[in-house]
Amino acid sequence: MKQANKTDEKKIFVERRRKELAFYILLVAYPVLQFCVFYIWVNFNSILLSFKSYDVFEGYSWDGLTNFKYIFDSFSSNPTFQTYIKNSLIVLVLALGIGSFLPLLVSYYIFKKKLFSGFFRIIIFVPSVLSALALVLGYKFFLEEAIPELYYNLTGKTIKGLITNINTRYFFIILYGYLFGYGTTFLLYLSTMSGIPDSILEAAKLEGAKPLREFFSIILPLIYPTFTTFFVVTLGSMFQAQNNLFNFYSVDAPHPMRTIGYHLFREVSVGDRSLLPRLAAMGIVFTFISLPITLLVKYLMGKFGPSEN
Amino acid sequence: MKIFKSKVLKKALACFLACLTAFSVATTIACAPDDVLDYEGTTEQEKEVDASKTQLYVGNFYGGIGQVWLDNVIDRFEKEYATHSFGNDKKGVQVHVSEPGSPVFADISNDSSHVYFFQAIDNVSLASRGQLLDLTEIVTESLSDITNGKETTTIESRLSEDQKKGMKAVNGKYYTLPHYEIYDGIVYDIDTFEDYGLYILEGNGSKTEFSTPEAFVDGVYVGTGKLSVGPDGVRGTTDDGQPSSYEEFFALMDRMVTKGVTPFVYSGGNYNYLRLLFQAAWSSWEGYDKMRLHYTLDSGEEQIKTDTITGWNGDTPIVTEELITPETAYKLYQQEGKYRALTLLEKMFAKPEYQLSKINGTYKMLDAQEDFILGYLENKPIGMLIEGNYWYNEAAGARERAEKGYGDKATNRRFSLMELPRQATGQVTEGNGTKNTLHSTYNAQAFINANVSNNAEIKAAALEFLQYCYTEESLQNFTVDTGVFRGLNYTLTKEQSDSLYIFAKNVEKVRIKSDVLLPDTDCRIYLNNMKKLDLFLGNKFTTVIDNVQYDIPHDPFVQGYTARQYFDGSKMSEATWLGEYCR
Repeated sequence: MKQANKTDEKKIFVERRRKELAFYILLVAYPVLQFCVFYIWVNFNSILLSFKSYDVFEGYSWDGLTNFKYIFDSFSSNPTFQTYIKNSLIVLVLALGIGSFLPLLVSYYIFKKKLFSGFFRIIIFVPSVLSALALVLGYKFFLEEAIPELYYNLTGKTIKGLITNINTRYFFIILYGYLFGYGTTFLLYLSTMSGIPDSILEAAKLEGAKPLREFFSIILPLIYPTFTTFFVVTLGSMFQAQNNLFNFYSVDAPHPMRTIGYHLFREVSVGDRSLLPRLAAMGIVFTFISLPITLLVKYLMGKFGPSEN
Repeated sequence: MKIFKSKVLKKALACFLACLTAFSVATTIACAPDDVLDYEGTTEQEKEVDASKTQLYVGNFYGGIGQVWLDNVIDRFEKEYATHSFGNDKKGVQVHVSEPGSPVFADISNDSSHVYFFQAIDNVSLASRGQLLDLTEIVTESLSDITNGKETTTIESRLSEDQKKGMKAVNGKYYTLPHYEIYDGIVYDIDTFEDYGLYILEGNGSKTEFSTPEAFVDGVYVGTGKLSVGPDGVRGTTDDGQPSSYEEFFALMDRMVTKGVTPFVYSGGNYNYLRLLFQAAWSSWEGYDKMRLHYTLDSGEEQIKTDTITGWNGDTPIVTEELITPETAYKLYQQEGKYRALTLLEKMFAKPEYQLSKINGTYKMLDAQEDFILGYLENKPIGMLIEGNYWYNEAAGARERAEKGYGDKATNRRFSLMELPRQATGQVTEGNGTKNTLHSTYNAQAFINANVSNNAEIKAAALEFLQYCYTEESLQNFTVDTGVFRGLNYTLTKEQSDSLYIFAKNVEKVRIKSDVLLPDTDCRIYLNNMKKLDLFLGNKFTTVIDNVQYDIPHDPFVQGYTARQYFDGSKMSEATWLGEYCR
């Protein structure tokens, strides 16, 4: 009897496990399939494409390392290509410098509930919920029409729009990114700071810690994992960042402002099939450059950064 | 502070943010001004599908020419085929127009449209990949059946030899038909030219003389002296009194400024319009045969030579005549006409008063058209608009507003397309002119999606409809409805020509006496590099000056570079040509 009961229990157990497994497989099947198609297959296809060339009558055919040779030659001999790389690095340095620390400081200011912190909290986050197109249009109209009109009314002198003006456009396009591009970052920092136990902050206050000391000794170590994530993700996308150029110029951004990220996106969007193999090769080359740097920085930040202890 | 903690206030704030978000989405969706949505035909109300009829779907790019022409041909087609069966026991046909969208790019195999009218399409690539239906049968057969005997010609008989070669580049079959011809360049305001004395008089070798404001009465020249014969060298044609050399053109610009007329307006939001002027001036200088070399890449049996600039003697270009072969086609980047066109653009930026001061990055082409139309009416005249022959359709809203505001004075405003100069200095004398060239670069084509092959009923309807759109009657109606010609050989009757609006009528007159160059070729090197070599958005306008690349002739001139620097930086080396384009 006991034996029979044990066998029954085992059967029920196995049946339950089988059902759980089936449920689990059904649950993950779709995301796994998506991953296989849109990540593994697409990237594999991209890698194959980088070794091909295109003829409008014959289609794609094997061309060895021609595309890679062109890219490596461009590094040294194509001034336009060098400009794109330079701009990508400028955008990266600014993003890592200002773009990493400024949201941190602003979040801390709001976390400490200083003057107008509630107002700033809303204003900084609102652009994240608005359409990017509407924001860009509004910003453009403000700089191209409102500012020149205001200047004319004040001084009687005519000036060009600040995006049309070759001397000012780069600055104002970068500024756009910092005014409207960090809503989510700020929100995440703020919510991480809000998770710090009040008792720690109160204890620090009782011991006479000033805000700056509190920031570097308590806040930063405790939110460091979040900071590292943003820092590393920004670094990893160094050759994908467009600096909002497509939003402002569509496919006609001036060459002195273009980044590698914009160039790749732009060339794909104009639909010239003959360029796709070279763009695929470019993607691979820049992945090989950015990947080790990103992994190294992540390792170093983990090893040498402040810890919660 | 308690007030800010109030639940009611928090709810109000949340509602406000939600409304703001919804508003931003709504404004984004409806961000196109009314003009774009309303001009020359709107998207028709969706027809209720009648399952007893064959359903045909047409994708139409309506930029520039709208949809009225298509609605009209659909109306006629549906009525004439009301009892015809294309198969599956259905009687009659319903033709639906797809939402106006962006031009087709890479792949239409899964698209729901059957017949397309689009521009800037890579038709050779699509045809090579089997995505376009073979149209040879409807192009080569007599139109007698479809016109009930009224026409006995074929569509093919209306194509030029160059077109036939180009359109049969893939497998020797036709896969597309020419859609509209678009020529870009300068539209000038005839009313302004007459009233402000901007026509050029026949000269005597000294400085350029202009007409007086009193020289024209009701459009007829009554002044003393004669108008110059213009670039074509023939008296009594549409270009009389227009600048026949760049020297005269620059004198005209200065004359305009002294008379209080702003010479130029164009869209600052899209500097490609400057590229279009560049291309038009270049084509005008070179003429049909020499400009056609950009597509054939070969001087051919006719041994067509072209003038290229191979050096400088001080500031004077050294011009060399060259024969072009596929291996030496890089020399086309050095054609003299390119440099001459650049001198025009350089001059435009030499003084701020040559352009409308409000041109900036948000100044759209619709704004430019409106200011151009209203300028004369508001005593702030603008002489020339950089646009294409389609602009008048796009400006429907602006014209309507002008007529509402200014009544009769705004009705029947007179505009025309300017022929651009073909020599550097002096004045063309009678009998010594050259023929004008209108260069249509947009590669606008009509075609059928090959996926209709799976459905005999739809295939039959699509082929019949497309052929119907290319009968002489349909071609003529297309031009009457849009003011634009299709890229085939046909003419309008006198009544049809008289029914055109003034600008279209003037363009017709210019077209009749011009060569029209279309981008059709079977040259493999060109077809393999079409997007790079085409004279619409390709690299023929690219230059590198001081290690900085420019694609559009705007920034270099604003920064003070010269036409010579732009030209010298735009050359292509033999090594690049052979390595990149000829491999």
